[in-house]
Amino acid sequence: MSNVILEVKDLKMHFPIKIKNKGFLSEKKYVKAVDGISFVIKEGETLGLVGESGCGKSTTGKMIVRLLKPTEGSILYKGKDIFKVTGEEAKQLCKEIQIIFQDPYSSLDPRFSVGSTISEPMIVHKIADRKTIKERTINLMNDVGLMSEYYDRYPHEFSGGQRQRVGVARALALNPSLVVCDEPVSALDVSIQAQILNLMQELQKKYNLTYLFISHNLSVVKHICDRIAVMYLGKIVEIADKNELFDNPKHPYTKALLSAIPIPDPEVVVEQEMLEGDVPSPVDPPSGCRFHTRCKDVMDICKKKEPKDLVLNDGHTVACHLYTKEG
Amino acid sequence: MNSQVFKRFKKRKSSLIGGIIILIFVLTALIGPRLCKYDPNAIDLPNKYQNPSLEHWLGTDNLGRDTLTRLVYGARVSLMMSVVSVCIGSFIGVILGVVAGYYGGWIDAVISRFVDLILAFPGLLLAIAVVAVLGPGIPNTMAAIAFYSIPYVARLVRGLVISLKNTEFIQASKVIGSSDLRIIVFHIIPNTMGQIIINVTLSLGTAILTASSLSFLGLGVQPPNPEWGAMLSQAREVIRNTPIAALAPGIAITLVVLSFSLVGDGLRDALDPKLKNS
Repeated sequence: MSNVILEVKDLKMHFPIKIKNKGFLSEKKYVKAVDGISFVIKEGETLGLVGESGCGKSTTGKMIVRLLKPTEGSILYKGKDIFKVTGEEAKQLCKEIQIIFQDPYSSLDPRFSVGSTISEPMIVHKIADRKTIKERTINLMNDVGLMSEYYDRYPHEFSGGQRQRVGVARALALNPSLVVCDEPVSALDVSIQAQILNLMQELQKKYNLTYLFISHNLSVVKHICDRIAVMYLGKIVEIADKNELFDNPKHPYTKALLSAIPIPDPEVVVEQEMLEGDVPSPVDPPSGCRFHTRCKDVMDICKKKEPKDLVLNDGHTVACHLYTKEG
Repeated sequence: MNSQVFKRFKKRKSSLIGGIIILIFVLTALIGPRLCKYDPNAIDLPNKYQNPSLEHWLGTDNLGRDTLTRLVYGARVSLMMSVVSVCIGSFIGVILGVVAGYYGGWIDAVISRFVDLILAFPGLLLAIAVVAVLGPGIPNTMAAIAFYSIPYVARLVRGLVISLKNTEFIQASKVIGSSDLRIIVFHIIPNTMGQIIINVTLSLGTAILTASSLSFLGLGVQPPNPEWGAMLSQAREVIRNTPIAALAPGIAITLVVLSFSLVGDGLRDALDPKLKNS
């Protein structure tokens, strides 16, 4: 088995909110965006992180690039806690872990030309003199499929797909090992999505990158990922290899998600498992298993006890009482 | 992009006219004094209270000084005072606003309360209070105007920075390891510059009006220095005999203030088309 590059241990992120009660006192409550998740990413693989909106996927991604400081738990990059490093090591870490944002329209500074956007990371880290940086920027632009003539152009002159290519080039500028992709294609047209995904796969091979691919689009995840983690309301409910997860889903939530993937053939009639109700509020998550309010296989124990992660076989982990009984 | 801004600016005829008027005043202030044949402070008592004539195009005041000459020299004082004081005030305001908006927390609370405190006073009253403490004179008047333009800029910039702070391109810059200073100087300030320029232009008109008001009240520029507000104040006593002595500086003040307002509006539409109709 290959080396573990990133290890997330019991990670929690609670955002404080104020809820006004009657009278003057306001009660402090917390949005439990991420509530104790653990997973590992191995070197060179692509781990998909899927779930409904609001389940904590992006929050997790932002913690990994240190935009948010977790309330509890730790993230280890190559064995080092990324929130405990300082000085030179912290700078080094910036180079190692990068992020590609969701919206290519807001992730580029409108007043920065394409060239200065891509070269900014290299200038900040003073990795070379100006001339070398410019050369490297143009190389990167070629790598992501942008013509070098675009160097002095501004983001508003480009289409969404081209902007996202700029975003990819910026993320790669420091030669990172791990790239967090926070829904990198969900803001793009379907035809452009495929281009960007193929580009990302090419670059992964070329630069030996590891991806954490955050998405709500299961077809996209199936295309690009090696392993997939399914999140629901701040918890990971199931992790498995891609094929194992798609062929043999265990958790009722995963099953429901998979049955909701549209099949591009009008002749095929699929029986869909429709999920009923809405996602409960992350402020007051349901007791026991968080999915029990919407689960069709709900049992008494689900309402009382939180299911533990259960390793079934070869990395297939599921948190559900259905399987605790059997095993 | 700049040519586009200019094109949009030109579309608004009123702003273009305002711009031309300001240009004329600025040129007058720069080269006008060389063309005047009178000394603005030369007293010529036999020729006092004259109405316009070929000798004195806009007549003379109570001490026989040529009104046109004083108007031209006064443009220098008025424009210089307003530009310098608004620039100083805006500079301090931008710093306060950026710091408050970017760092938030108690720093924001302290700065915002300070800004609220200044805003609680009517502008002119505050300027009078500052001059009362420092004493009259050109530098002190400028200090007063600068001081009272701080809160408007600070509040504007703070709001802009708060909304900018959470955009993805600022976060992206954080992820690549940029320092706070770099983010502020290279990303935040350039993206608020349009709004700041608009605000400066609009404040210039107000600043001229405040400076004139202070001088009118005898708290600003002191005689014998030519200043529009002071000229207005002196001419007020003889307004029945030689109305031109009061009309001339009055019209000059009105024109400049109006022009700055028009240019500011035009710039707002040109630099930020999104704001239009809102």
